[in-house]
Amino acid sequence: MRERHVATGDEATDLALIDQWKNGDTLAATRLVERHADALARFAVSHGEREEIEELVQDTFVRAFGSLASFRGESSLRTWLFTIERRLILDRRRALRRARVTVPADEHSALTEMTPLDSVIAEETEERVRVAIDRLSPTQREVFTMRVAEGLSYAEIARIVGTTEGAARVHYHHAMRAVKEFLENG
Amino acid sequence: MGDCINTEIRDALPDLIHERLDTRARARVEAHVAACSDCAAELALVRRAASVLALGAPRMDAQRIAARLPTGAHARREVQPIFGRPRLYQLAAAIVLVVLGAGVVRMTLQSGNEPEPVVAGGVATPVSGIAMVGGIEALTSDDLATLVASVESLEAVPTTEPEPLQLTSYDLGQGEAAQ
Repeated sequence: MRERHVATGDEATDLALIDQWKNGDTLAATRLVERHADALARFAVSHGEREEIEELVQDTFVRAFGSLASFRGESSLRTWLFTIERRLILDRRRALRRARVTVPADEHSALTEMTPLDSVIAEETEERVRVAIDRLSPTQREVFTMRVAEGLSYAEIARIVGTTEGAARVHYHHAMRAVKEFLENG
Repeated sequence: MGDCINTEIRDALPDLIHERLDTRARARVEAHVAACSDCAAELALVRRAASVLALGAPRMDAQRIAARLPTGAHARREVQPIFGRPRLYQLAAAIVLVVLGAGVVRMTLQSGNEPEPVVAGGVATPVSGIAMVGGIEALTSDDLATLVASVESLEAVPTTEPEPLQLTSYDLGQGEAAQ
């Protein structure tokens, strides 16, 4: 049986903003976007997306707000948003494959892709950590990123990726071991 | 960098940096990290990884994104569907009333001169303007709306002492009521 989700302080704020938006408060929508947009951008990047990130985040919010009336708070709003965005990323990749466009191979080759933002990262250690994360398998990187960057629980991660809590925990610890080994052995 | 055998503490390290631990749990984890070099190293790695991941993504323009979102009026229209639960119960009650009413009408037609059966439990408000021909599928939307209005007008508690229930059975061949 799935545990009943109890809203934390942050989630109570999200629910209150949703109610305000339903009652016509447009500023509440802006507040909700401010609270979650950057996290959605990080989530997209962690999945190897590099182009049109804002468009992806925009599409996620459009989908979410289009069905916000049916949001019951059974999971946190952010978990729900991540679930929507993850589906959009998969749809985008399927569409690119159908159009026979080469999908940026960020699953394994971020090593050779140096974006202007990379140059900001001066510390060699931080760069090595980034490379270590990019070398993870897609599932490990997805779970590791959600756990480390967003602080999501294993239950929330499991709900987003469609697996079990136990499997999410195993993926995280395998990812952590892989990152440590890369940093130790190069 | 080794792995501490205390997986419970290791699982809590991301929660520590995201401030998702209560006071007691936080104190317990911090005390362990202070005494365990493996967990201290892993905590530092978790912090660094969180920082790297945060830096790797562009900042979003929340105002621009919010400007393209639907308004809340869209949601308000959706929260009161015609087949929301209160309406559903009323419709279910209307269907029961129609079925009972159809049964009464049929019994009355079959009995001919027989007195109309008494409805136990209070006053049966006649529903006017609806032809009881055919099954419920023959009713129009207006008919259903009238039935729903009738259900709403029914009193929940009978205002008079209920009449004793007369049970009748019919011998179709003889058409006589057996008592």
